Amino acid sequence: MERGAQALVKMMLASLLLGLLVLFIHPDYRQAFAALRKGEPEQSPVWQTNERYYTEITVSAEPPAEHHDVQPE
Amino acid sequence: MFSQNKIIFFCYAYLVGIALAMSAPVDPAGLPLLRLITGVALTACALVIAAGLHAQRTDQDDRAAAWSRRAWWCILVASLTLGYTRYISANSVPDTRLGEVVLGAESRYVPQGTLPDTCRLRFQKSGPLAGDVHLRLRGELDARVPVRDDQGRATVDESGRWRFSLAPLSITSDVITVRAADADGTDYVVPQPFTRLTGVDIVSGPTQGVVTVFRISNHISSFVRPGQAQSPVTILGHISADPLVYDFKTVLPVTPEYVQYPAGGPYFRVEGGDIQVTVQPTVSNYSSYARTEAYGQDVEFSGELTVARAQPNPGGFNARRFMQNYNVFGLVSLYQPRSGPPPIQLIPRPDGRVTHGNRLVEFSLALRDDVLRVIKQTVIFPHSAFIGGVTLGLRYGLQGVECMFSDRYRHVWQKEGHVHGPGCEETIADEFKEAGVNHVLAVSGLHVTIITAMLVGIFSMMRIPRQAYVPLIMLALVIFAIITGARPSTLRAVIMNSLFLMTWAYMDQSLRSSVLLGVPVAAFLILLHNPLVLVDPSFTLSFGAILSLGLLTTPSLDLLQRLKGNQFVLAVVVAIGVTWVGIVHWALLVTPQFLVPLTLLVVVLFKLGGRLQQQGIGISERINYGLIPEGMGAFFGAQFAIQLGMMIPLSVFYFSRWPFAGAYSNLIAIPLIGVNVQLGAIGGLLGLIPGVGIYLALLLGAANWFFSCVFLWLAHASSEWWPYPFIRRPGLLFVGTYYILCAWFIWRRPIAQWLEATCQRRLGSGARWPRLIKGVVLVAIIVPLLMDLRSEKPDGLRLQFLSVGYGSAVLVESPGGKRILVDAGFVEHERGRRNEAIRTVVPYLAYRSIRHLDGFIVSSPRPERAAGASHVLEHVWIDHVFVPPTLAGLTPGESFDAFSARFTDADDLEPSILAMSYEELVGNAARPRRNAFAPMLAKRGPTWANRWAGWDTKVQAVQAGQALFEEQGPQGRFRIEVLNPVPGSPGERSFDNGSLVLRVVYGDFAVLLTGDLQHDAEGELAARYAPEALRAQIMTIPHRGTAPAPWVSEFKGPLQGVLRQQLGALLDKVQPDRVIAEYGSARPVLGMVARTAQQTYELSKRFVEDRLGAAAWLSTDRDLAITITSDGRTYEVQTQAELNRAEGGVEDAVSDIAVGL
Repeated sequence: MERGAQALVKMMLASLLLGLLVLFIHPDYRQAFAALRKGEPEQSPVWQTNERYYTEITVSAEPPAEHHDVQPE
Repeated sequence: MFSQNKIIFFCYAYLVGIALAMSAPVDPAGLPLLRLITGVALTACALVIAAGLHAQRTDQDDRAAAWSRRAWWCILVASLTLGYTRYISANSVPDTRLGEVVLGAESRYVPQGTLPDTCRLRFQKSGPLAGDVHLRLRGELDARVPVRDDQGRATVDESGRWRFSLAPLSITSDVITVRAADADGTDYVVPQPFTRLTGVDIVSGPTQGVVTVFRISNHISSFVRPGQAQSPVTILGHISADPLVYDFKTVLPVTPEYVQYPAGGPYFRVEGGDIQVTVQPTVSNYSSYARTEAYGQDVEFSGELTVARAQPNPGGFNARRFMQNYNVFGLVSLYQPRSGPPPIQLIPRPDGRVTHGNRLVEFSLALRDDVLRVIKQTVIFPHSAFIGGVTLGLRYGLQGVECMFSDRYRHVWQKEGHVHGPGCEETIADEFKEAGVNHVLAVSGLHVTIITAMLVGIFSMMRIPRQAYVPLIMLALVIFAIITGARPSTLRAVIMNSLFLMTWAYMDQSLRSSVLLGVPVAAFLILLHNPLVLVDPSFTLSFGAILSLGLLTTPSLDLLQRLKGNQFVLAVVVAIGVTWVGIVHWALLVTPQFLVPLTLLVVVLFKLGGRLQQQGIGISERINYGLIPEGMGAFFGAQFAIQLGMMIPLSVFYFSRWPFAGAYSNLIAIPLIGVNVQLGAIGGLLGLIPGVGIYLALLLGAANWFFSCVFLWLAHASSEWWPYPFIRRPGLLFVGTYYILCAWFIWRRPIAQWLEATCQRRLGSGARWPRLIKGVVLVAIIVPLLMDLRSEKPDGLRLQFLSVGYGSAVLVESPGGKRILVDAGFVEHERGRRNEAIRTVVPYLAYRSIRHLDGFIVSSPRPERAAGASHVLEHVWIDHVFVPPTLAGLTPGESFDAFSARFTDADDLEPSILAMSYEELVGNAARPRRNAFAPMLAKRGPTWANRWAGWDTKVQAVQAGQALFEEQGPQGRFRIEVLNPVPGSPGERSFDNGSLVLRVVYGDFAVLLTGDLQHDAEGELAARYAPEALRAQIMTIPHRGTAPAPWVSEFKGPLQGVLRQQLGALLDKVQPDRVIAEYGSARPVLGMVARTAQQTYELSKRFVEDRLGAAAWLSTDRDLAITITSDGRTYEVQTQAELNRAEGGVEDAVSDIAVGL
């Protein structure tokens, strides 16, 4: 089990490098990075694609405003 | 004495005790006796073990051995009785006997118990009575009234207890009459509740007999009333688990504490059972409930307390039983009323603070929300939904989420280009099912083991000794279980991993030995808490997987490693060949005419290959399974074991389908999911670190997005390439026999050695006796296996009307064994995505072990009949398809104009209906992947592969005057007569009036299926035929009773006149005893016209009931599936609703007052 620590380290390093590559190539991730840098995470295109996914989880950990996103039965 | 083996034995025997209780339950009234027996058995077991331990310590070896032998028997009895009693007590909350009214010269009430709280009472006729007895109860009621605040809300005190004011009242009940003519055991509920019973007045009665007084249990199920438009109840309780937040509703798991029943009545203290409360977004303060923080809070709400529907069709999913297994016994749906207070209120403590639930649970849920927040910021949707599902167990977030090749995300793909065409509208969840990787969404051993390995790796890197970090990991696993919903599969894995960690850290034991102990202990602990989940898929699939891994991997590897040289290459060629045939023509692969020659050929080639190998001819033995790297080879062996031990038998048993792709896609999916889960967990936690954390999480999220793309592509491609066929659902006999064969496979060497030794000892030397015995045993095992796959054929004629909502699907089974399906239900592509053919019709056929139909009749182009046809064609062998003349010569690629031109009244139709029919029958160019009738039929043409597989299908248009499937039965001739459309008549080419009207006849019995005739055609049909040509004991109401009458909302009178004139004429000719409406919610089919259709339906129903009596009306929404059987002279009608009610017996009812449908 403890030998897995080395595999974990390698996997994490490789993932960070891969993530860096995706960040350079994918425009949405580039803009997400920029939005985080500006302190405007809600402007991130990555966040915006997730707006309708678990809407009660907001970017700022505050409860969302009351909304009635109702789909008729 | 107190050995690991005894612990294992105890745990498995406990399971057997539960299984015994499921198959042979006793009356819950016997629970006190069962508990006493269990107590005695456990005590005896403990004493025997203690005596043995004492003998061991005092070095009395002989005595210790004797006590050890006795201990085995004690353990067996104790564990069996414990399992049996635990199941019976979990499955029922019996009413309590309070006393008896003994009728005699001096009639008296003999009390045998007291009331612990306010409750309802009932009398029960316990034996014969010489005459009617009139009884009245006297007592007191402590009427509870909640103390309310100035906003009208009920209140709680500082410690969270509900505050009531009590008003004691003297109560005398109504006079209850116990009739002598009623059967023994009849119950008579007393309308008035009591807190204390002071006496029973015998107003009048005979001088002999006994009437028992029972206290009705205050379990929440006893307050449930099925049906609609009931009196609402008010409930005070608390939100007992994480709210399930969808995008269109929130479901709150609530533990009720008090219930006011009926409305305006007293408050009862609830004695068990949970409910699910669905809150619509229109409810005031909705966002207060649609969030994790709602967990633990006290609530007050009012609504109709109903129950989940039991199975609507034979073999169908029993939602009620499923919920009861998880202690949910009632459902409430809350909507914001037009006026008045909101239906649900959160109740704060007196100091304004909110009530809290379990602190560890609150912490776990808050942590989950924080990690999800990070995922939403760092992983693009829909990949984030996938990561949320596999890392945090958020399956509900994946509902309705389409795969990444959907048009919804097309703006992304247009930039980079993609190789898959437009129009992929499968959901991720459906693709996962078809690819056989759906298990990754059910957090189980795989995920828990990944998390465990990850945490061990992290702590190891920090050089912390294992004895120190193992408790931390165990706590983390508990938090992980809470976050992911604590399902049996997760609990099993957490318990087993914890046991392994403890034995590894503190006792230096290996993985294998901890698995042998961990599996039964985990099963015991889970079933001790909730014995009802023994047959739940989450439990059996999880334990099936781990047992398969533990027991079948080694023999599977042993088998694979014996493949060398010629045989190894042959095995690879066969595997590739079988895979190719499965992809190209799966129906061929599963037919005996292909499988049997293939099996014989493979056996011959294997034998030949082996002989040639021995002579040194062929491929070198160095080419063998051992060439595969060890880790990969072991992984393949494990996958083989899981397919053999779990996927093949249990996937088919529970779901009637087997994903071909699973054996292949899991080779990539399982290693890949380890990456997804670890990156999701580590990234989510890193993102919580202020400052740099979110940037690291973004990098890991970006990498995880890439790996998710690979996973989602894998599932998408697998679902595209491989079939996902329905398999005949095996019974318990098949599954049991299959596992006996698996056991033989696992222990074949010791069994063979024992057999040889026994035969040598008893029958003399010689190899033939063991071989003979093996052969006989094998036949004795395989024959029941095959017999269980045979479908049961009815005596006489049977028609099964399936409950498919607003739609039709009828299976006709002739006396000679022919099977004809008439129509296949509706397919909804939006919203609920409800495909009745895949959800109901084909699974019903699989449940009945029917995979071949002699005929399939599509009686009308209406989508509620024809939409499911393409899906039936995809999965079922069909000899003949029959269509009305309007659908003759239908071709794939036919234009919409050409399709419309088939109908003389196309311009009068609702445009949406015509468009839907076109899409389901011909296709949709914008959705090329959707099934459609004509293209699917074209694939069933007379090719050589189809002929070999028996998969070719003939199509024929039929019209009035033809008779189908004629045969002679024991009591007369069977045939299906076509009565409409008449060639050359004006209605022949009409959309509705051109539909097929079928008369199913056997001897003197007939059923008339009237298709989609409109009102004018009803009268024409009646006028056209003589009474004897139309006479039928049972008929369906034409057009489901909703024949178009758009003016009905304003002008009911004209419709009533039309019904009298047209439907009345038809009823006069047919003279049915019963009329069936294949009805349900019309909105998915008719859209905005559904309300008018409902009004028309109600008028039609009332008309028929006025004519024939209320008992004549049957409908598939109220009565569910309807079964009609006939011997050619008489007939019987049985409804699924009746069967569900009848099943509310000892093993199903919670209270002795059976509730629900």
